[in-house]
Amino acid sequence: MSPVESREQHPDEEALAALVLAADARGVPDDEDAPAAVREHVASCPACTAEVEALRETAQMLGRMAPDEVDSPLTEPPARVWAAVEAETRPAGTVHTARRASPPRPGSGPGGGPGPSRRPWLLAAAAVVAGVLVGVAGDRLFAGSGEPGPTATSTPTSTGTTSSSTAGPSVLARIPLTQVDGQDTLGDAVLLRDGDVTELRVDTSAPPGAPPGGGYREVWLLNVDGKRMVAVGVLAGRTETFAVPDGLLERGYRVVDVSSEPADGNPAHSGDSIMRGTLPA
Amino acid sequence: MSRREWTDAPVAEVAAAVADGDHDALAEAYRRWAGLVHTVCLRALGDGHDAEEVTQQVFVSAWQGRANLRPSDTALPAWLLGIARHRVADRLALRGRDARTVRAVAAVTPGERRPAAPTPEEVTTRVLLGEELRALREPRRTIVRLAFFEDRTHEQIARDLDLPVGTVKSHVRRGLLHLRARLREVSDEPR
Repeated sequence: MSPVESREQHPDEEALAALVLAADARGVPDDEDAPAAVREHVASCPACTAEVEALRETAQMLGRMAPDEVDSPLTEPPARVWAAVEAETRPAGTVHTARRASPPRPGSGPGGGPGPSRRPWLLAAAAVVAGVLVGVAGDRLFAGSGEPGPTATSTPTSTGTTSSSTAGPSVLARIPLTQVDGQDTLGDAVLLRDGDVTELRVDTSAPPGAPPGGGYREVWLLNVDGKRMVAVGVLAGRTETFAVPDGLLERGYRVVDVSSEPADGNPAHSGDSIMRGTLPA
Repeated sequence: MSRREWTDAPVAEVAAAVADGDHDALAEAYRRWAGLVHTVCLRALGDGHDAEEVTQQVFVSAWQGRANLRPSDTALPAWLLGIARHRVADRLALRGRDARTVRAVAAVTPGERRPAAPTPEEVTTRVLLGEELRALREPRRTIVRLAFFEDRTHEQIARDLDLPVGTVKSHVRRGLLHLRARLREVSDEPR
């Protein structure tokens, strides 16, 4: 009800509130709180009756609440909930607000430039060591195509060997994860196929990625187009295995990125990448 | 994806961007309202794991159904909460009401003035009221608490806080009006 439109006819909202409170008060409601004129009007006015009822409902709801319901703040969900939302709402072909200039975050990763969420991260490609396809049992070659990857070879990397084709997941690819602003190999990422499920196992050999003060490390798959990314999950320890949703890799989300995230409840990429590697197509 | 793009954006702008398919806007909507959605789920379902799952479902559903979102000033949180209520109701129906009634009662309060287990609608309203109460400035915040939670009369409050009775009455009334208005904003009701 708007007090502006019909000040002559309807009582103002405070008078209606007074009516509600006078009815609930422990003290004796006097004519000042609930004047007869107001009560009579409300009784014959549907709009005002509805408003009074709504206010009374709210007052009763308040009366039913326990003090600790008032005192306890909201419970924010843990980071993995957003990671799951993002994985399920893969931003393929969606609009980005390119109209807004993206200011660089302080201390962001490669070369001190803008964060990696926009195309600038492609500029850091020089620092990314392209993945080397590990020789695998022939019948398990990932993406099953005759198309060779950009650097497909059949030599094993220095970090591992091929997996057998017997029980257990088979290794489709293994790539080193290279320090984003340096040359060191800080870990590796292995793409596994276990039946119908594709998994990504990230293994970091160097703990120094873990940020201080309650932050955490998060794994992303960046699209090779330099514009999009998907959060894969939180890297709780040195090693973690994540399920990779179908179709993601085929659509270009092949750059494995591990970032340092502050514990600020913001699910977006902090811009602070620690290490990266690109899976072969 | 810098947070700075969105922090001060009005709700209508975030809503319009989500409807357009801007995934960063979804992240901002999550940043703003996931706590609210999650808390409602937690209190309605009484289980952390379920609350997390339903929260995830709410935002995924919101994204998938973004074409239905009307980008008004209040539509986005109201819409998210509406989805949340439905998802919570679905989850409760799945589990079986009896078991949940027991847990919902236990989760909310040890007994005093509560007649029955709260519905998802009531849980949502109470979480919202709690947030709005915490956001009130003094002295209205204390006055409203004394009036509604401690059943003090206006005269008693006036004595306790050394304020004129008229001032106390005004704060209680305006506080109730304000709370009611805020509820109406996120309930998507026409009235």
